[in-house]
Amino acid sequence: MSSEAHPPAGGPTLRPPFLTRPAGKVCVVWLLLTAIGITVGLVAPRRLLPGFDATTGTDVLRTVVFFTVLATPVAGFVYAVAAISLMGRRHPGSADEPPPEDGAPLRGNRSATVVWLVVSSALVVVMLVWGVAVWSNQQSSAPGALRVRVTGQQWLWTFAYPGTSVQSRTLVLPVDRPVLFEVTSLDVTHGFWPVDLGTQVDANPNEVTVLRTTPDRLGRFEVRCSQICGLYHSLMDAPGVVVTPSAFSRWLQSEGASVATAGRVARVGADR
Amino acid sequence: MTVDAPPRRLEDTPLGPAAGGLYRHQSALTGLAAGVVVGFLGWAAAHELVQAGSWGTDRVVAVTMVGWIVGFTLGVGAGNAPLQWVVGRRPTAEDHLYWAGVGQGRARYWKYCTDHKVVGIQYLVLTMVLFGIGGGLAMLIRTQLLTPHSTFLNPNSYNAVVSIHGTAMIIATIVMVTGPFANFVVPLMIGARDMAFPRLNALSFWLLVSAVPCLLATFVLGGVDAGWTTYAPLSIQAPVAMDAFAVAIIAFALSATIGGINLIVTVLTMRAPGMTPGRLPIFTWGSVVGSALGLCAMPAFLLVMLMVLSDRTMGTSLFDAAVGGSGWLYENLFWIMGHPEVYVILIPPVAALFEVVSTFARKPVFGYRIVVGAFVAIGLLSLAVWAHHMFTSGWAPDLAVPFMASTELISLPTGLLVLCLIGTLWDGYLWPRLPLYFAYLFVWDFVIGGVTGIYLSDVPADQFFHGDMFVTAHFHYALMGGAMIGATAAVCYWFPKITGRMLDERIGKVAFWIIAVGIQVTFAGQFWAGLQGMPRRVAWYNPVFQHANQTASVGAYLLMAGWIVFLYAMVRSAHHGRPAPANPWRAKSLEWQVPSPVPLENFAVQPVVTSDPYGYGQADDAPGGPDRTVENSAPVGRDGAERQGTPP
Amino acid sequence: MTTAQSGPVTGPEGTGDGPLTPSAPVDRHRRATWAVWLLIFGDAVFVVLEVFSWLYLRALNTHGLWRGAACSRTHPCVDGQGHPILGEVPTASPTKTVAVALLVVVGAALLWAAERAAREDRPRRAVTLTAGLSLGAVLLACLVQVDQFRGLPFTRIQGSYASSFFFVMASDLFHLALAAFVCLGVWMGSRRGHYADGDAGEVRLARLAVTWIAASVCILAAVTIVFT
Repeated sequence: MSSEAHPPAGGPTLRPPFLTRPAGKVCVVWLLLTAIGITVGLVAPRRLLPGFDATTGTDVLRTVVFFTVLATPVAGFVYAVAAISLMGRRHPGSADEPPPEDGAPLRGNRSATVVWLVVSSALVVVMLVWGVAVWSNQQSSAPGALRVRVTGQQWLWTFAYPGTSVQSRTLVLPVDRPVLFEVTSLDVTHGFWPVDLGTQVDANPNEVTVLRTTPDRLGRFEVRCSQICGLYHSLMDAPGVVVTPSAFSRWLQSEGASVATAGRVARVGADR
Repeated sequence: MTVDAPPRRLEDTPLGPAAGGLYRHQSALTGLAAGVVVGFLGWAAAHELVQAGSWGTDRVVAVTMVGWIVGFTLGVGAGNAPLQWVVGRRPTAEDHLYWAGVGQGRARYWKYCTDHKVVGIQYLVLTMVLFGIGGGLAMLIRTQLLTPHSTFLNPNSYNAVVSIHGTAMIIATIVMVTGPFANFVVPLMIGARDMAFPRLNALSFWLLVSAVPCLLATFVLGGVDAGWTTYAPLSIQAPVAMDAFAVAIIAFALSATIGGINLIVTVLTMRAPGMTPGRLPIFTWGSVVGSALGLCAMPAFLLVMLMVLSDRTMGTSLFDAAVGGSGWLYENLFWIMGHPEVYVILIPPVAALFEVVSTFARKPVFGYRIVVGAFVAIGLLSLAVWAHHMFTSGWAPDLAVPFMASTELISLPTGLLVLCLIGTLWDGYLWPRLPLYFAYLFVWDFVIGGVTGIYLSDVPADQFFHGDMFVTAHFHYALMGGAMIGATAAVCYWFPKITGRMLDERIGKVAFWIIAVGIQVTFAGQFWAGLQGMPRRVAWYNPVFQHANQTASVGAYLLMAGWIVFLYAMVRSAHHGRPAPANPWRAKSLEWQVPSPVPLENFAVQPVVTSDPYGYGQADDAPGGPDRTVENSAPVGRDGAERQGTPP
Repeated sequence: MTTAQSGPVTGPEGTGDGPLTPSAPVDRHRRATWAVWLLIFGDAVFVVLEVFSWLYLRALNTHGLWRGAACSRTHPCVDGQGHPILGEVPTASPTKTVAVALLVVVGAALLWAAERAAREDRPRRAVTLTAGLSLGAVLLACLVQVDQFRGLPFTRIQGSYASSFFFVMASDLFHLALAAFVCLGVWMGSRRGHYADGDAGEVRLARLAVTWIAASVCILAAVTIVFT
């Protein structure tokens, strides 16, 4: 992809130094942008994304960083070429007549196209392999997972723990134990999104969808609704917390006891 | 016989008093009146017959809206020709002339005019109206989101605003290049006198016009609270506004289908002699691929909205899981439309950009065949990626990987398009006029939109990002920063041809910079909010997102100011701009070889094409010399004999 | 040398559809054929997605309520209005479905005959007769379809089979109405002599459209009868 100024006729001449040629300038800008982009990619996601409390969240962070690092050279190349193209021959923008000459009759460049295609295909393959690896890792069911039944409705979340009579508006999870969410809805489609766990699944009426993750850090988080569900979609937040296993069993016991003493379990919504 | 009288233009042909028949008395006004009357009659009849019962109000609203659309289109004159045909009558030559707008002056823009240039300008105005509606609603959204718990809008209004903002913008972006420019420019580009079906052209326009009041009516019918995607079952339970919404979409889908067929047939069958597929301008290819894709997508939109109406007005349970239906059926059908649809939005402006970049860098298109191949590949692949919108829906987890693969694959032809675009810019002799400014902005914005898309294509990452403001920022960068900026470049590029005047560069450049900065600030703010974990379509949010939202809102106000300045530049230049020569850019495609403004039948003499319109930098081309694309041959009759033509 | 002309200004023949320089009939017909094929393509997408929806809902059988196979008097299911469903929902009788399909096929066949008559420049009466009979067949199909709605052994709120059946038949009815419109136009046009002199172009297009409609009705009939 080069079409430099023709050297003067008559006798061998030195070509201008690489870095002053357009291709050279592209390389400089490209390296600069790539360096900036990779730095941003290594720093920004960590700072801007939530502090994830689960393995699935860590997967998200790693993916975002990795893909940014992969994509930056490509974006940088495009921007470098576009920027240096501005530094070539230029007609005054205020002129009412077109430029006196045409640009180079460049109808294509096979090697540039092939290299681009090969590199971008390789990147796609890498991204795909990465994604498949992470995804299948997430999909593998862990034995002994804690089952949590999540029920969405307009406009609140209820969390039930099978095996107990606990029904809670707060999602309490023990750290370092795989959890299997069984998610459903009582009315319309909601989005069960425990944000800091880095994963989500829709809550569909009359269907049960599953979500697997393993909380690996203590802390508070929020459950938000990610699928517009009507009037108070914005208010459909629920608190969540990841606690130690002992705190979790204590909580289950006390919740179960208070539920039992309260009498009949209040069931919200129709029995369909 | 006089020898020196000036040749008469076709447009000045005197017509008899009966030319045009009923059309003489019809216009948008009669359409409006008929629409109101038939709508009211529909309302009255429905009210009498079907009001009682569970689905009564839905039926009444649906019938009223259908009545409005039927009345309006009949009132503006769309039914004249089909009704004539079915009773066996045929129009006369004078009828055709009247329909093409002869003798009506400016009034023809308000009528069912078949001249593709008139329809193109009508579409341009309608597009700007739709952007105005969508943009105004965006201002309401961003004002609401200035503070975490604003009382500016109540939640029902907010949901309604969000839904119609999305829908109006989707419709506007679908038609923004195909409507004005495929209509106005493509027949000129291929050397034709009009589109293949001029009456259908007018129909697709007026049908779309009739859909707009239905969309606006949703605000007074309770508001659509389900976003523009209107997932069932929420949309089945929504207020009666949803029936109006569904009818509007049905009208729009029909309009887009008809328009798409018109364009495809025009390019297939009406090219000037010598215009082989390899000599077609890229813009024509892009318009055809976009329309073909629309033909695949619009029937799905039609079907899903008919099903929504069926569930709402007839009580069927296609989407009600309690009675055997499935919300996933809705999602699949919707996204089978929804994903190809974004490429219907994207491909025509990108194709227009190739014309812009080629002209203002004075270079041929880099990789012509690759660009065409990439358009086709994107079109085909886009039919196989829809479920990436459903990665977190819980539907068919086993299909997540195949859809991830197809989605990531589509980045390959898209990347090739970007490569060819910058390749066309490379080593050119740049003439930095306003269209080129927007072309460079496109490159900047679209790369960001594309790169942020790859996170979303990765299933595990999408588990976090789905339904989050990051998604919103991604598609706004791609559709607004990308497609819409491409369309703006097209507006600047073809402005002299359409209006006969030059667009004011100074004001345009002021608008450009405001818009350019506005886009970055607005959507960077949204990326920020998205990375932090803010869901989309919320009226109230956690205060931790406030800074990001305020950034986005400030950017949005800036954007709006920029668009207003651009609109001012357009309107002012259309009236007071410097008169434009026929070919101010010294471009080589056929539309620039006719005068501005363009005569009624475009070409007095059939052009014969001998090369593609990218002959820049040819060795034997004198600088700024005569265009080699067209042989201005004398018209040749079918028997090969020469005949005298008339100059324009 | 310029010459003034006293009549409308004309250009060369066959140069595209301007208001004053209409294309040759063969060109116009070619474009119209393309348009009809593209419309058929769009409608085919529509029909394919209808079939997809039918099969999908049947496979999902959400809550067992495709046809409510598990519903019984002791364990009733609930329909869309809260009324009980006390047993499996019966299927619609195939008789009327098949009758509708046969009638529209006959209508398409008659249009084939009309086209041949026009092409071979038979007397006007032949074309008018076949076109008129075709119209009659399609109208009869519409009537039978409406009659089928009224005689269904289920209501459309009784599960997704019932809902889908209703939707598909309603869509068929709409297509039949379109076919009737087309047949009507051919019949009226023939009565006015538009298809004399072997000018069968329009009849051919009508035949194309109605043949597709017949095919789509048959496809949907087959799906609704086989996949209950």
